[in-house]
Amino acid sequence: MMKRGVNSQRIILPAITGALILLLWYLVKQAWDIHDFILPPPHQILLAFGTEGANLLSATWITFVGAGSGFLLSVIVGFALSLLLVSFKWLRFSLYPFILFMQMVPIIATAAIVVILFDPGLKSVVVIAFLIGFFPVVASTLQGLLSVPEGQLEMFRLYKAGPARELFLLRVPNALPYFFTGAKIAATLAVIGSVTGEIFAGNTNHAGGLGFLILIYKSELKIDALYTATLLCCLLGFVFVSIVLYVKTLALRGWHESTLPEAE
Amino acid sequence: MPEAPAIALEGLSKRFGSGPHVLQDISFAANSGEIIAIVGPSGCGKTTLLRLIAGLISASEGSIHHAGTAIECAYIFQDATLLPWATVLENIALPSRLKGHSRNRRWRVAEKWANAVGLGDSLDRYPRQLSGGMKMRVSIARALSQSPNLLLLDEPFGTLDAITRNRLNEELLQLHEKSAWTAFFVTHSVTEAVFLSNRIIIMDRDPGRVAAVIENDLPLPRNASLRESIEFQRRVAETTGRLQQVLCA
Repeated sequence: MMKRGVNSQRIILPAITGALILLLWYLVKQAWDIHDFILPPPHQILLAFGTEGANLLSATWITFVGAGSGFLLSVIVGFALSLLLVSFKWLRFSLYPFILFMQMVPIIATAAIVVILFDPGLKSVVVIAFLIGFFPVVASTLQGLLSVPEGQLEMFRLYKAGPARELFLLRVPNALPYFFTGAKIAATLAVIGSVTGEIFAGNTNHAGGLGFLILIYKSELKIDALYTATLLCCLLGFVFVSIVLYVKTLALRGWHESTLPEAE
Repeated sequence: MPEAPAIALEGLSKRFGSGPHVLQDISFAANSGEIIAIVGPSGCGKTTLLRLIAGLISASEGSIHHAGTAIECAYIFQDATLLPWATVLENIALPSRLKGHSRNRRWRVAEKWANAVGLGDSLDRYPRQLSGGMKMRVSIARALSQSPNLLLLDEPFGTLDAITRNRLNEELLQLHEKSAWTAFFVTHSVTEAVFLSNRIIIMDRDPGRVAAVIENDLPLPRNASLRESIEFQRRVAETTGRLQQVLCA
């Protein structure tokens, strides 16, 4: 009974919030008499799908490929590097300060440099999406690999488990919740990185992603379509995060608090 | 199962780095199959002593000798130290897995010990689905599944309610009757120490050292009714008195 209540709350409450935001949007527009050119009404943004649908879908697919490739790379390389960093202390001490340092570099600056290094196009977009997602994955996974309870480590030592068994039977399972936290951050950042990359890297074979389309719509003053493209960026991020959460639930189902039905 | 070893600690001292001695000149011996309870105030080095015996840390001075067969040591920690991602069966089978035993063998042994500690119908449950007492049962089954001849217990029942604690004490003695390992049992409970042990070592602190040794010749086998006996109550009072003398000295 309680579980059903929680589940329905999870649908009803966001639906009510969404409806209130839309209402507020119309009210603000009405009250301050804001022109459609600056703030188009929500229904006009939806109608832009009709006029610009083909361009928007094609751009969304291109952004999806760029962000998805960068995200997958960041997750795979980030996880593998974390395993190396926890296995070799000298490597951790050597590299980790620079990994932290690289995290501080603003993505706009990174994007500009990457486009110079890799030329405009999909390759640059993938590299930017990879770089922005890579560091959170490494930082989170490494924290999970290192924060194993002392008692469990001692138990493994007592039973004379070698480093490989300690890594794969103890540290890696312990790090999975941390890894998924990093992957979730990387999933949202991958879309941001990809769109930023597209704004810098432009189009590939005369077809650009959402970032490129945003630039076009801005220059052509198609403001409603500009809003639509922005909305699609958010939806794309939402899709990536949903995929990560789904895989997380499959991987941690049954034992981790965050995957339990009652988890908030 | 290998025969239970006799263990002798000779002049055992431990200090971490250049700090003061945590343990100083610990000497006593445990006979084969004996249960030794170790009691004393917090910070007197009881856990450090167990970790030294287990070989998890090395002594600064002194040595540990054993007579009889090679030592197969198992350690039951203060908290159950179960792997949260592993089921009851997988947790009990963990030592076998670490030793590289075949899947069939480790499953068979784990199931046998799960049944022995009354968890036969909870094999697929995760630690978060277990009560504190059940978790500790898994921990005991995991330790005993390797047929140890030396068992080290670091205040394993300290966080449990009195009824569960008493029941687990009785079950532990029943398991000891069947397997007869030599055991060192750290506890803060004098009642538990008197109920379980053949001998009680009282430790003092700053630095940790043996303050008194009390022979506990209460009849074996022991069961719940022993706690009601005058003899038991007298032994508890005597041990408590000795412990208070150490604490007040």
